[in-house]
Amino acid sequence: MFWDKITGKKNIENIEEDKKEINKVGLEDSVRKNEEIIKDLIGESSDVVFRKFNLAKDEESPAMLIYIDGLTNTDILNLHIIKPLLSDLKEEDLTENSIEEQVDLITESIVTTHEIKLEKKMDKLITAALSGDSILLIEGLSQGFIIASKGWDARSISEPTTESVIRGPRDGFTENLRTNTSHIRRRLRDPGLRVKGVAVGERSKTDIAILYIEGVANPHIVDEIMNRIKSIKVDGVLESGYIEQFIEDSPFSPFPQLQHTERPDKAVGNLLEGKVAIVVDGTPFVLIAPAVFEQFYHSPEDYYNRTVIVSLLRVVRVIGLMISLALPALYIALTSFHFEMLPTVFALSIAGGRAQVPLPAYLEAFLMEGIIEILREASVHLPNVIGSTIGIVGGLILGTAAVDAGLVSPAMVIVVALTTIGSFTAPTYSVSNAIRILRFILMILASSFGLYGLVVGLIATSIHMASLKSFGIPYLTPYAPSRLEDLKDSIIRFPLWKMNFRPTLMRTKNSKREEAKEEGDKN
Amino acid sequence: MIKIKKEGKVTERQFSAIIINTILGVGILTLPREAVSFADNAGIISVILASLLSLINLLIIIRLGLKYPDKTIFEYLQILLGKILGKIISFFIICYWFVFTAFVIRTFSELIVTAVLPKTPIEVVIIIMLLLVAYLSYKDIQVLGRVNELYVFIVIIPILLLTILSFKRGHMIYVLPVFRGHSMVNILKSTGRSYFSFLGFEIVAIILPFITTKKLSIEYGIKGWLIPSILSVIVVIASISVFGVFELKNLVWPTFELIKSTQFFALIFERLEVAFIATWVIALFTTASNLLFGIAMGGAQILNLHKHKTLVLSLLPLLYLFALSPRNAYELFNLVDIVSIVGLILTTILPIILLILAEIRGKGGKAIDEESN
Repeated sequence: MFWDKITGKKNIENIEEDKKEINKVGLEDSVRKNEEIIKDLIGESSDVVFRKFNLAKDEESPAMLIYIDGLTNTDILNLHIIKPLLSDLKEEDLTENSIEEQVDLITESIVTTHEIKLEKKMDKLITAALSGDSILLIEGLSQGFIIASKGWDARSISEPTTESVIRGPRDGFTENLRTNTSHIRRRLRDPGLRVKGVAVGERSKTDIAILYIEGVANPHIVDEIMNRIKSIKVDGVLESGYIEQFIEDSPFSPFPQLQHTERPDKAVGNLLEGKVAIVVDGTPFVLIAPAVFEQFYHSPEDYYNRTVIVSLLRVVRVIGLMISLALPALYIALTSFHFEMLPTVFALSIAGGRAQVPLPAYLEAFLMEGIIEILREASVHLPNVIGSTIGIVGGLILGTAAVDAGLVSPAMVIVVALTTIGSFTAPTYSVSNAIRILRFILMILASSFGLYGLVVGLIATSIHMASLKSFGIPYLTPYAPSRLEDLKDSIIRFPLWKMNFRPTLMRTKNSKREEAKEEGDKN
Repeated sequence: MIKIKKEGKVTERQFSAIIINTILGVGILTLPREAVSFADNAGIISVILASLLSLINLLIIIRLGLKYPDKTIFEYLQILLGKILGKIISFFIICYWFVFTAFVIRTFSELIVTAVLPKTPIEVVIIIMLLLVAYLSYKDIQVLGRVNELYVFIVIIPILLLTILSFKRGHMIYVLPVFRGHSMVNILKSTGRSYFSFLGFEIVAIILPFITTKKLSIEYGIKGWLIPSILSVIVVIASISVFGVFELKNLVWPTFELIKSTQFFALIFERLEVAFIATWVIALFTTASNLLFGIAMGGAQILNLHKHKTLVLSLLPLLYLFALSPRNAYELFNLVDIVSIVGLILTTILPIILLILAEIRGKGGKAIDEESN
């Protein structure tokens, strides 16, 4: 597999052996026959190129280079493979040497690419070709050369769009697995950083890299993640979301149990805490496991800014999340059940606003929240240019018109606006989705049983969260079970020099942060 | 007998939290009235005496539990008293907890229906509470510990804050002098009644084998007892200072009235009783679900079931019927008084007898213990 060649590391595991015919097919010692076999297996595809030429311009020794157009770097093919084989190889080299000596000659003195190796098995050759390497077949040899020649167009590194920060590095992960792992390596010059490769997907054979720091990460968790990834049985993996859904603990919970990030700094920070990063080829979203709820309102920026500011911001985020979770439900409960709880003046102004409204409070709330959800969903799919227009039309005009028409009360519009804005205070998109679902459940409970229903709903939510686990780590750590050391990095973030230990929840092997100096500082 | 590894499932802090949350429940809502019922101003002394009694009983239960570190009360009862008698006593304890839980849920539902949801039928309130309680009891003990830990401050801080706020309207003249020539008998009678609000600590008999560090169980047990005791004393003093003894005796929900009479204009909410009830739902819910967990766990151990989960669901309808059985609040309070007397006897006398038995049997008990393993 091409993995070995690039990392130069031992490939830990092959993908699940195919049971297909391809496995049994061997190579012949004639180029023509081999070509037919490969054509038979790979089909007549227009992007598969079979380049025929003669070694050392000698018609007696035909050779063939097979590669996929578009996945290979043509400069490498031209200058480092075909040209040396045609010109640098002398005719007497072929006539005087045995086939074994010819192979040595080609690998050692002729081909000038950085990596070349012999392979006997046809399926491996084809997988290599399909992942961008080229295959060289020569007459009289029942093996093929795999020559590294990957090169394709990829998006260049750009700023992550989903997790923007004011202060912090601007580079983000890209769709290329190698670029992504290099991002992490570059920030973490620790010899303990391990990059383990697996290919998942019976057909897509997507490369996945599992990164962790040996000696910091808990080996049980690493093993568990490895095992879960290896046992995935799926046709193709197009995004890290596939992996997430296959390896998470409770698939029916609204709460995300793995983090995903586009930011290398966040990934590295988490690796230093003893977590495991899962990089999937073809997507800029890197998974981080295990994840606890605590992390979903942490932003990488939290560690770059000063302590006091960060603590304030985290309080703001938690309040934002609470508002987006419970405010509509609270509004329903107060206006339909417990009007007496509000101060008289306040109650009067709300009642005044509601006087014209023909709908009961809960219908009003469901209507408005429903509209906002529709708008939100629409704005995701609309092209950027129209998106902002829809935002203005939907948000401003619809809201104003609804109030003017007497369909909803002004207070309700404020509630809905706050709810929507509040849900975006979480730096992670996935958790605000969980809260969206729960908001509606709480609204139903509040419209049936008032504040009692709301509290019951919140308690049920917290029981559910307390029972969740992410790879053996309780979801609500460091609150429950409480870990005083970890609470230093919760709502209040202590100064960095006070956070001497890695999170105890990970049960890391070396828990003191400064102990291995060469790791660099996490933050 | 269930052969699961018990140790290390509940941390010490969770252990404290479970004690606190189980004690803080429905009792404190009526505690001020019970405290002054016989003793008038000396009710404060009664409450302190009651809390000290509960501390002693708590410590005895922990001592007893430490003698059989990997067994719950239902398991060592059978070792100490023999299989049949042990099972009978276990069944009796479970019945007591069961009725206790049912009345906790009923009392609270009464309060909700009278205070915040006057038009809602009490059956619906009870059913929702039961479902919620069952949801937690259905989970494993780790989850129970975590939820208790999560809620311990959410319960304590609001009630403490609201009670301290109510002192604003209090008059110390109502409180002092504490002794106005009350006889010791009256003080003790009040103590007996106040003891109800400290019941619930006996849950340690089930939780103890699960704790991580056995050595710390006494320390954290005391911590778990201290917080509700302080809270209770403060609530009683506040209630006497605001209402005075004679008005207090006529109040159905003295603690609730105390909060109700408090206004705090800096908050958006003019009347805090709804907010109080909202947090008290949590206190009640934790009490009930801890007890239901204990019931299901004990039942599973008596019946040799492997999981407590099966019992939780099958007990729900029965619990519902029991919760609905008192016809009105007055009958309910009378029944609660009976339960509290049973609780007083069970938690005071039974542990002492068992401890003495365990001491007498000494190594003999341990031999049986090893045999059964």
